[in-house]
Amino acid sequence: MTTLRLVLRQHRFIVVSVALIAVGLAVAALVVAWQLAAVTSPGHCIEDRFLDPMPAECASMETFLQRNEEWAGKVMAAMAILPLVAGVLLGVPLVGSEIETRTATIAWSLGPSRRRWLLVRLAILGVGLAAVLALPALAADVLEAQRPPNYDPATATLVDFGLRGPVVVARGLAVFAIGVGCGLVLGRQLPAVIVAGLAAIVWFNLVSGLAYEGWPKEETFTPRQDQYVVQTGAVDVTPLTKDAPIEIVGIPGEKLAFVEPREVAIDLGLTVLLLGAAVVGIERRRPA
Amino acid sequence: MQTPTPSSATADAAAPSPPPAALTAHGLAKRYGSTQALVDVDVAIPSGSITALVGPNGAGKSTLIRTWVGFERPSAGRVEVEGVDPWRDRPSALARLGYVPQAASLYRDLSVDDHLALAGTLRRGFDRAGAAHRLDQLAIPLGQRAGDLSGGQQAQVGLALALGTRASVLLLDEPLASLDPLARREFLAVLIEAVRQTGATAILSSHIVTDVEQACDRLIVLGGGRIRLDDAIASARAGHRIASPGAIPAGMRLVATFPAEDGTMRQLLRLEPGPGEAGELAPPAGGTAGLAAASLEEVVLGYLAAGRPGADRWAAG
Repeated sequence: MTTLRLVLRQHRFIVVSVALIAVGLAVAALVVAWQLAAVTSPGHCIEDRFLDPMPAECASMETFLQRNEEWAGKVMAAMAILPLVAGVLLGVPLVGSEIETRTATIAWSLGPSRRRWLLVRLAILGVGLAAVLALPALAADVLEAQRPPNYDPATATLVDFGLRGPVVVARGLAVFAIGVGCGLVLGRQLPAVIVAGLAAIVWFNLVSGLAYEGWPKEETFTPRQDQYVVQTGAVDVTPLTKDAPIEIVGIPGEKLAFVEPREVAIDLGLTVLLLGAAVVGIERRRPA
Repeated sequence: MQTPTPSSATADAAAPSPPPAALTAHGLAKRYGSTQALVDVDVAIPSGSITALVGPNGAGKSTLIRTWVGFERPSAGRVEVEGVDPWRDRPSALARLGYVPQAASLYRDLSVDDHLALAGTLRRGFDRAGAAHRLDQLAIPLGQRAGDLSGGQQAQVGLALALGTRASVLLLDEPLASLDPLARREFLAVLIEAVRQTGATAILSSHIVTDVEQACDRLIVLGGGRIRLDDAIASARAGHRIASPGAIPAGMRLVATFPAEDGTMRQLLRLEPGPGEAGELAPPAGGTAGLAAASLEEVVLGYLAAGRPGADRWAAG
């Protein structure tokens, strides 16, 4: 408990900041989801709201679409950068600030094992980060279920993939590991934050690309009325029109059950790889 | 340029066997890129001694100490802490060491008491109560944030952490550099008392000779990455004389000629051991006229001057 208290106190400003951002985002997602649920119109209103006279049940569709685009869109945009910001802010200082401010010389001379020193801190901050990110990740899943007006929550969708669910947590941990590695190698926080941020963006693009392109492959299929699909990253609402069914080329939403765990595994694999390298490399690191 | 032979190399073979060395360096060299920080350093620090490691900035003092801590990997040679090579077995070496780094490297946002608690989690057997008592005696509030402490108080916290390890070897890397005279005196008093009580071995590096003169019993002068002098302080004082440039009396050897504070030149002369009395310093032939006792600072200045480029020019002048 003493170690937990001291590690959290050492990083309290960042820990509290990340926690506040994450909890605030989770609350925002739930509030927006509740407000969207309050004005949901039937799916046919996407087109029928232009009829004259407009069906009575479609009166709230404009409000829904506006809230969906402005409020929910902003929450999801924030979800895109949350794992990056949280991972970098918690990961880089874990070793980087200790080297930069020379406190590593005290810690590493008092404790015979640097590996144990690092592992304890990785466990505390890593578990804390996962727990904190899980809140907005779950809330964003709830919000996503309210976004498409004709969406059946029981049907999987790849819309907003990576901005909700376990992928958010996995990406946050991957960025955390990247931050730890950059802090350890560079030994200075500002350069490490910049390099880790760039590396994280590259990583996000790599894994996002994997989710949509090539694996699984696009296929030609006839979507159901309540199904959203992703066509190379873009939402195709065509099957919601009255002319459906039509054949489209894309990745069916059901593939989420395959794509999501796959990216989580890839992110966690990178996390384990980088943190393992840090645990090995810290023994050879020269403190400032 | 000829580097004076360290007096330890001429130690009396008939003298009682010295205590076992707590710290050793054998043929130690350390290179950073094109910079040679340490060159062929051979040294053995006896157990129970307090050794002053003196030299100008950039002499290699911190590098030597950090090599013993296991923070630097030797480019050549090896070092040992009570027989343990810190680069091969760092945990065992660190378990024998207490270290006070050059700058007070405390966690600014943690309290003094937090530091003691942290040390307790990192070091088995850390004497938290003893460290707290020591700081309490110095009126350093345990609840104070480290970032709010004065430089002297931060140095005392660093020393309390090192002493709390109850290590048998203490390495202090210029802990006095940023302290005012009163804080320096307090720091040294605490250090001397603790070391005398525990019988620990201590190395205290500094570039200010007067700081360490009273506290230490041995002196190592490091210049340009090389050991220039390794001797007991009493022996270093007794074995050297200062004179104006001129003829060198018989039984003495010129160490170096160097400029004094008043701009005049001074010669540091070393008394050579008398014939058949290995280790015994012979009085200079022809009396002591024109010779003055050398202060420890003058001894250090002389050996540093001997190792610098241009020493030959001074000596010739």
